Amino acid sequence: MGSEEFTRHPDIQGLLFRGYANLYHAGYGFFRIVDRTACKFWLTGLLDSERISTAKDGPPELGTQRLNIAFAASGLEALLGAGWIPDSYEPPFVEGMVTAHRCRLLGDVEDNDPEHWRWGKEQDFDGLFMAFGNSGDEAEQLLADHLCSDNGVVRVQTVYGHLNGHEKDGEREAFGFRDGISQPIIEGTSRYRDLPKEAALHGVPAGEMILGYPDGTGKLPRTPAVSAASDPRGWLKPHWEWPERRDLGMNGSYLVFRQLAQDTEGFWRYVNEAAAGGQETPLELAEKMVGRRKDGTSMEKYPKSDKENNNLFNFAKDDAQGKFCPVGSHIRRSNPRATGSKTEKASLKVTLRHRILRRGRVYEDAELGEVGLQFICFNASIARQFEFIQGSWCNNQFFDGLQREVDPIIGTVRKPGNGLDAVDRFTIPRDPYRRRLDGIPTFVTMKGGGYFFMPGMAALRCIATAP
Amino acid sequence: MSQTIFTVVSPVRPGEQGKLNDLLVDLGYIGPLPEQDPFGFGKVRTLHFASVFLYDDAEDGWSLVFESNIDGEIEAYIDSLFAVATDQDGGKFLIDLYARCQGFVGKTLPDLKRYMLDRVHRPQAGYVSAVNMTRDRILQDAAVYRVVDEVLGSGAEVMAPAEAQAKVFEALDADPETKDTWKVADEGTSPGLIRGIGAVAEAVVNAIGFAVTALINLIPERVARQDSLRPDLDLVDSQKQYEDFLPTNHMVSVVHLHSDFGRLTAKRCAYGLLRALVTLLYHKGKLGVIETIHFAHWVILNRGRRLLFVSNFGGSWDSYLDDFTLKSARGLTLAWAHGIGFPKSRFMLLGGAAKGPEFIDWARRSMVPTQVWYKAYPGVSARNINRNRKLRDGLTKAKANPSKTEWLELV
Repeated sequence: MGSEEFTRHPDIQGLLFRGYANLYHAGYGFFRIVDRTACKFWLTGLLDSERISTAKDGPPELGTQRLNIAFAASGLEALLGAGWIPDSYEPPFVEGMVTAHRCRLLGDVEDNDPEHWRWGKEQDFDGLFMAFGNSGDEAEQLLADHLCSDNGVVRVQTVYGHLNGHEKDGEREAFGFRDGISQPIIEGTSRYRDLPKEAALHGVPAGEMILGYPDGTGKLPRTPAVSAASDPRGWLKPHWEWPERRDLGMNGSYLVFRQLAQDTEGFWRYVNEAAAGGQETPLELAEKMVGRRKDGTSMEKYPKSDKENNNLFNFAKDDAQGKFCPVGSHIRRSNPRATGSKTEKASLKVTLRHRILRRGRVYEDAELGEVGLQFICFNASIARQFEFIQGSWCNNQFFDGLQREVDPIIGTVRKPGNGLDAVDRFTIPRDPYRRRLDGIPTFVTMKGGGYFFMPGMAALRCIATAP
Repeated sequence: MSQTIFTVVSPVRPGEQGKLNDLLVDLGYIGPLPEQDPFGFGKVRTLHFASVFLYDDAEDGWSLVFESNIDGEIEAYIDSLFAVATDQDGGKFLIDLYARCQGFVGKTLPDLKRYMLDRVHRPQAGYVSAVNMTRDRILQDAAVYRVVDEVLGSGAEVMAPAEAQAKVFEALDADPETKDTWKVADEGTSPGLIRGIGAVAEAVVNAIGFAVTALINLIPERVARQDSLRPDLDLVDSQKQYEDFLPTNHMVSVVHLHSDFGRLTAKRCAYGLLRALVTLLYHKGKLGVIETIHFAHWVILNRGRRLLFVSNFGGSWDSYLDDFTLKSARGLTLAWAHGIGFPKSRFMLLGGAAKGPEFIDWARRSMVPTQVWYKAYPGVSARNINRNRKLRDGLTKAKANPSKTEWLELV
């Protein structure tokens, strides 16, 4: 399949390949299924009228709308009925985001304990309906039109997001930094072909992000199955692992949603106070914590003016000690690229098994006086990709030889306890010795979230028609 | 002083395993050290990590395993442990515990000592990250790091290296935790000439034995059935409920082995090879490129039918298994090949653990829960220990030659 065709694949939902840059506003409706038959009728209608956006639709033009849909485990169980085979899904998806162990792993403890979330603590939703349009009202109208009792579903939670930037300047997250720079580059796309240098560092086989294609091991990733009985019309292909079953995962991907409030005031106040009396300016400290300049350029090697090359660095040769981009900074923890001159290749190989495709948007809630990020990412394995980055890298206080610190942007600060010291520091390597920040508060707090599966179009057909 | 890893494996009296499980779990040893520490682990100065757990075997029934990672020799450690027990309750807790095990009919701690020494298993192969570092030394080094870190402060105002160094020396000499210890020389990690030559000989003999037996066993290795079952979700949940309370975790895996003579011989050669490699190459805090393991070991039990693997490692289980499959698959395949159901391997080196998810599932299904787990220094990782060691080394060098301020980079 040529690269042009792949990013226009008619069976893959559009959000996977596109951030819908022309559609500024998004509404995310979390719904419960109250009437299975009506819900299936609605889904069939959406498919027949081609309302669910696919990759084939290409980039949206101004004034258009896009809709995408994903399901929680309970939603697939309700719609597939006897065809629901929980063992065939990723365990985190089946269990949901809120379990005692998962909270410890993801850092959803202390300030981020589900007790403090605004929604989602009970994981009481069956699916996520995403509407993209030109205004918040339009997005809301789309949600209201679709998520109604006539369609067998009720909305239990709505959150909104929007883009925050323009083409020249790039996306900005709420602290003011350019965001969304480092994305995996999927093999088989034109980007992969046209940007060989970037692809060497960020290229992943399609199966790392989309089920149904070989992944980093060269083999097909595990994929959800339904019994053949659930697919009497034969929408789906045979399952590679269990040939008597059908492959429900093909062209689908696991979707992670987390609403993350950002304490922008607290963040800038903290760096201002920390900078007092020192060599570094508040902005420099903030940039060290993020690991990038505010305008998105890399911290090292490439001068500020060279925006084209803002993602072509690794940490193996140029910055092993982190004197440019600190070892514990946000971008280094969440994507360690290659580390160690002797282990450059091996460490990059490891990192590339832990990449995610991000499709989040910022939000501003005037009523609550809150800003932040509607974090969305896609991956073939929640455990191996999203949870690994969040738990084993960002929230690991021993990351890469560090101690008593987590990701200074998205990490969860820990009070002293369990026989351990507080975890609230950040180390900035420099000459002649390190700068250390102490008493860092948690700047990013969880407000709600869940794990979903965004099926391919044929799989949606199967879900809509399963007996 | 070199460290010793060992287990005491005792058969449990039929019907007692349930009571033992409840008794051990209720002690609350999984997270931080409980206030009531009936084993007295916290008071034994030669102990790094310890665990107590149960596993079963179709023919031999249930066993109680007591794992210890210690400084020096086993008998001295048991003496220390029992001295603490004597102080605490006259040994009643331990004697009552072992009264539930077969073959123990004694009433006193000396009886128990004999019973335990008779059931000691030394590992077929083991790994220690901080070679020759006693538990005391690790804690002393952590104190040195703390003092240095405090003197350097936030670093907002930067001191010149010489000034910083002088202040650090002054503080180290003044702090009651460091003043007597920080200049004590490090033993180093080299195996020494005699052990080195021995290890080379061991490597050569076992490499030859391994090459021959791996070849002979190729057909049984290739025809052995791979078991691709996924672990039950509730089994995984039951294990995860004990994980990630601390940034260090414990893993116990009990694998069923193909225990015919040929394959068991191959395994023994493989472990001989691993043992020699660890002595010769992996004594500097890295097992290949893995730097997160404090102590780990493999031991063959139940007359060749069971392979026990115990590990005390930093980070989450998933990241540990990720290290296994992506960074050191061959070594792991060497250690686990000829396990029943193990992912298909060739020559005990290729395939196997390299098969990512299949190996991870197999490893998860082989796990048994740890009921009691003790760790002497939960706040430092294996890499922190190695850094602290280098720091102290750098400081003593700087003490002799004040121009050597490179240690500043280590903090």
